[in-house]
Amino acid sequence: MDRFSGNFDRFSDLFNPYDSNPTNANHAIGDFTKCTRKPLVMGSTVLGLEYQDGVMIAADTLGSWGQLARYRNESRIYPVGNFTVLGAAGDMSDFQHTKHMLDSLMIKEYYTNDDHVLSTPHIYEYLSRVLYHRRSKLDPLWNTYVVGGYNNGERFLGYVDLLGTTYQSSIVATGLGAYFAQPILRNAVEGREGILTEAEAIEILNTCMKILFYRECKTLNRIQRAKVTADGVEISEPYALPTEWSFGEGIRGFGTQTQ
Amino acid sequence: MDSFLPVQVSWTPQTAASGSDFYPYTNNAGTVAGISGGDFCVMAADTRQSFGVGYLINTRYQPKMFKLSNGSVLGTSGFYADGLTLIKRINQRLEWYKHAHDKEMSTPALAQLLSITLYSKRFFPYYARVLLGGLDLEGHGVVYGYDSIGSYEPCLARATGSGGSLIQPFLDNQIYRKTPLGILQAPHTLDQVKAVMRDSFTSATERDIQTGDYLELFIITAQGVDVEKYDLRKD
Amino acid sequence: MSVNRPLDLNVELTIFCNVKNNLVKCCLEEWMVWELHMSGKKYETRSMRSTTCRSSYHIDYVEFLRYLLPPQNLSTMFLTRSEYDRGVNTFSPEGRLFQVEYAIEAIKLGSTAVGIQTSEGVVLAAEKRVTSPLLVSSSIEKIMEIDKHLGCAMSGLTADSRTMIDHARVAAQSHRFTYDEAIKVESVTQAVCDLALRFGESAEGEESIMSRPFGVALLIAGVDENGPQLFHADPSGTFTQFDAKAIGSGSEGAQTELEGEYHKSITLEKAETLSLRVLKQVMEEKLNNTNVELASVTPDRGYRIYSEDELQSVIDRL
Repeated sequence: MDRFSGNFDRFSDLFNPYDSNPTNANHAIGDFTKCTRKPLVMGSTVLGLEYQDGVMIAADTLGSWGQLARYRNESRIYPVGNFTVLGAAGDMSDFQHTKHMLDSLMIKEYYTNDDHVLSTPHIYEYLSRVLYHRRSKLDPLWNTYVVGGYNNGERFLGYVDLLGTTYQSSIVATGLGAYFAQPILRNAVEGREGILTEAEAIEILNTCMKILFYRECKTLNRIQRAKVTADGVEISEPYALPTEWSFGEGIRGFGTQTQ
Repeated sequence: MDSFLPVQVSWTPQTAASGSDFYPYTNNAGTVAGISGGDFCVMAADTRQSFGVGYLINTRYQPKMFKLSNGSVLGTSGFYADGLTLIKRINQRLEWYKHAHDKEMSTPALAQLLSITLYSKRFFPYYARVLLGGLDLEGHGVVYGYDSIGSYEPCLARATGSGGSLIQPFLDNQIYRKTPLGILQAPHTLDQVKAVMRDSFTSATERDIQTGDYLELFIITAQGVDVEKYDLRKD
Repeated sequence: MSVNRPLDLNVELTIFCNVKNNLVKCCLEEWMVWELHMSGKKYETRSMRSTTCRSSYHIDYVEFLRYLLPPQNLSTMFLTRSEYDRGVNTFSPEGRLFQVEYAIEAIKLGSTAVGIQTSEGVVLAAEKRVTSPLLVSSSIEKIMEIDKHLGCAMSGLTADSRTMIDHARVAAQSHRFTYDEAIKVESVTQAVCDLALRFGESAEGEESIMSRPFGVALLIAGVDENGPQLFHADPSGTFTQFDAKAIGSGSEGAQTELEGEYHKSITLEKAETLSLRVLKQVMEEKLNNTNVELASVTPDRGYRIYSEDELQSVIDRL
């Protein structure tokens, strides 16, 4: 995605091979049907944290189309099996493909009926191998995934991106969230995973998502939260975060209000 | 040091043709070092994983050095996904070797296997800075240093990864004893080597933003592999 | 006595017997001769081409009649064997792979070879059949090098061994390339035996290299971290480790001799003479330094084939 203001004019758009704006003529003639080298509808930040009952992740519901806030009710959190949840940033069509793939996997495992249940680490490993394989084919799934789960009393929170890079941590944040939310999460969560209550966890995630909404233009204040506990996966309905913009009126020396 | 570095250009015919902006590597960085002694080998790695672009720390604890089933220790830094894949492949080969030849692979044999495994991806390399430590057939400590495409050599002391260039000269001085007076090689005790290693990483952490958080020491002797964990600066 | 009568054997075959000098010249399918061998009798099977049938054989008439003439024998033979040795990979109802068994028989026709393992190294010795004084005996090679620490003696259709030895050499070199170490004797034997059953139609994922089983047995000798070792590999792909083993036409006598003479503390020097002494007993020709081959594999010198002079000095010790 071309974020540089120097390239915003139409003429450079026409010839810019790096621009992923779907209205760009490049896309009409390119072979982007063959592989996702250029993402189209993009989701932004996903946040995840471990707390005393399990794992909680949050994501907004915006699917951006270039600079356009195109889909405002795009669910980016998806359950995989009973004790795993997947949060996705990046290309939404690749996310749909991944959902389909994981559904097939879980169904196959289910009808095998051998009492083996894919727990979160297994799903995470599978997903990361798929992503690494696709990057090695230079045909990446253009996503960053947060995988959360709770199995046999063990919390699991992992990150995997379009390169196949993986890490597990008690807090995870993708995209700009890694800049804005990660420090807040680290302060609030690290070392307190075992004592953090659900209410506190919700509060932390809401705060982070609100800050992201204030700061990132491709984020919405309409978010979804999911928790995975011993009781299984629970994904909330989308809800709006209250925001406060009135302080902007008092700010001087910025934008048009230079006086 | 490492002569091979993938460069961020349109670097294959496929990507060159399509003008892709997908670059299949990142540098999750981190530092790996190893020192071999008369009957032991000390391998060390920090546990920080960086995002690769900018100043982000993915996590403070994601081990990148592993004990293998034959008792050797393999550490990787660079592109974490490649390093992990390499380790998975090597572990698989160790298993197959055990079944085919009814014995554990020796560290020198593994060193050669690792070399050709890296070279097998010569034109789409594992962007991994690898260090292999263990004991040779006589029971002496060995450290093998590699570049990303499989060139390797056994060495007394070797550091690689993001802080490698900071640590290597220190090891040259402390282990190889390369001084203005000439080379004064002296045998080292395990405790001395451990102290040198901890100092190396403490210092590298001071100057390299991608090294830090925790230090894991793998001490390889005929008795097996001990792992010790120490704190490093977390900033 | 002259018999020249067709024996209708209820299948498409006809046998013509022609007795001369108490030998019967019979024209019959190859597999029937194998059948005779399966019955435990030894026949000379120098084949002579004939226009009326596939091959003809000189065999002992009396023996032949004993096997062929009783109708019971005949019917049993054809009922049980007629279908199941056509396909090389088809089991008979009794659970046998005839072609493989026949191949094992084939190696019993080969020249004799002997291997003896000692604590100092392994000795390989092989008889060369010098069928004509005009034959350049050095052109017969029955013992070959696989790697510098591995040697191999063979018996049977030695041409088949080319494929196997090539495979063994590749396996040994590939191991050096991959692991920077010498391959184990057992591993290289296993590699050769992996080939043995790759005949007939190809199995999935594996390329078939032969239409029939190998007709050769190998004695693979070598030194590795487990010390000097001797392995025997046969056409069925089975391999077994031996202290001392004889293969080929004289193997029965030779093996008995080895069993009597071998002891764990035998020296390499004694093994050299023992191997030649055993060969001498089973060879038709008089043993000399051109009609046998001798090689050793030792930890110090690896595989080494003996020159005629060295051979002579061993013969002198006999």
